[in-house]
Amino acid sequence: MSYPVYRGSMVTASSPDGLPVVNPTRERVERFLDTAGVTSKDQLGPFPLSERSATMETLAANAVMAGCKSSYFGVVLSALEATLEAEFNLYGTLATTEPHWPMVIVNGPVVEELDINSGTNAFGQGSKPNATIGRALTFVYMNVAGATPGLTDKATHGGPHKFGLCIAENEFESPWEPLHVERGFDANENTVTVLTTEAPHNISDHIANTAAGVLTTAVQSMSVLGANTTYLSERAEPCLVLSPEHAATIARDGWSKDDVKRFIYDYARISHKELRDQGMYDTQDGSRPHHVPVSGLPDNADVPICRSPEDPVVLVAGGTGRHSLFLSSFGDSRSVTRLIQ
Amino acid sequence: MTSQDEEILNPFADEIEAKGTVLADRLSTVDSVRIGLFSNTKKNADYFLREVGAQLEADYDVDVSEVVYKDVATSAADEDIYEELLGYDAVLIAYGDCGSCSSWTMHDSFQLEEAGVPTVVFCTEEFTTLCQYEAENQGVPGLPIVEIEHPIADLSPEAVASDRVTDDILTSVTEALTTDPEVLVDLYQGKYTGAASSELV
Repeated sequence: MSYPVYRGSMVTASSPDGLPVVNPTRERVERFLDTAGVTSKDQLGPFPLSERSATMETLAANAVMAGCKSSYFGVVLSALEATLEAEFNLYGTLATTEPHWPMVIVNGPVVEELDINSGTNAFGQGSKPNATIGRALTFVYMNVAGATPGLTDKATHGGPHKFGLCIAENEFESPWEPLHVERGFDANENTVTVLTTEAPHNISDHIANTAAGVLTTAVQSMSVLGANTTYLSERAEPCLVLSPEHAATIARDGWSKDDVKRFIYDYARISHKELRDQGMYDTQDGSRPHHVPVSGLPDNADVPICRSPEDPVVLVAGGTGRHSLFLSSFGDSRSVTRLIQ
Repeated sequence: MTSQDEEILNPFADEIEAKGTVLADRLSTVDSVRIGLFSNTKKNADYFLREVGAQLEADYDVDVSEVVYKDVATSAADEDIYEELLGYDAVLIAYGDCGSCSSWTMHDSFQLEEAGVPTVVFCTEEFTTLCQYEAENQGVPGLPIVEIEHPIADLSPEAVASDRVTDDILTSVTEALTTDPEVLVDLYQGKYTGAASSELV
């Protein structure tokens, strides 16, 4: 299979995602790099599946095509770098039949500077940085990494998040330390966190008015047959995005973020009997994931959806409303947080 | 300058890194050799491998291993699994029947070939293009990828043996293990990706 060949005679760049793109003219790309302050001649890569690297000019061309402002480029580059870390498993993510794809979570003062939406409809339409940062990553995975739907990107269904998914944590309305502080960064530092995820699943609870009540609904939504986190639990990072209202209810009872994560570990569980011969757990032969929690358990043992209470990823995002979100991670992948350069 | 004259930059990367992966030397014969069976844990992969192994043992003086499993299909095998597999004269790997498992099956094959153990990768027809694309990008276009019919995961073990392990597959296996790497390039380069290239614009 020949690698996609740029047709020099074209006056409009072909669109990777089917939507119109901004033409990456030399003038636009050079101005983009200039205003972004990027002068590096370094290449980024190699990217699986193509094993190719890309120059800053090529990456900028993709960001321009996606509609990014030059001020977003640092977030784009840092997010791309983060997904190249071995533990992120981009190699498996880009090719998989699963719907999983990298999601970008931004923390720090840059959220306000770039006006990245962390509030109402943060996972939806309507915000240029949210829409175009995620889209730029998707373009690089398609144009540079060679993830071509149907040929090398083998997603059975894919999902709307594969057009690009970038959000910011709603740090101002979170009762707890933000994600990047939890991971050892200073509150004033800017970071991206990348997490392989499927499209989010709504957790609606308009009734519960205690921490345990809200989280009981949440864990019921998170412990389901068919989610990758249920079976690939050895490295899974089940992600709970709490709305500010749900977070406030939980915090009102004095619960810390660690308490939330511990509750997920303790109660988002499925019995060993229910797990067997479903999903990715086959007892008929040796074909099954040998994740640690399942080994040698009795029928009535409740199996957690991750290996330890530290593994759930909990953040606050969204606006008004008593809804939270569950994002099931790819499973065999670990999220990565990096400083934005 | 009109818009017709504006230079549009190429959004594609234009150079492949030199990975340096090489195919291992092949065997002079499949007689008197020890062949390892390596499952990536995908459903029925072990039944498929056992049947291939049984038929090889019926036809040749080969010693076929018990099935060796890695922990999970969606990432690389642990080093101790590679160490164990390096003890065989050749390794049969099954199989690619999804995206991430295909990628990591190819990765396992690259590691073993690099270490000098000839391999055969089995892959269902839906994923041969992906597997060969990766082999080509790793610099090993001759890596033998033997195609099997898709789907295979929901067949009974008996049907796996009777319907999926064909004479053509067994011929391909022995050919892949005993044919010089230069000739394997002629046999495999573009075998699956060539047909797919016309789908790319």
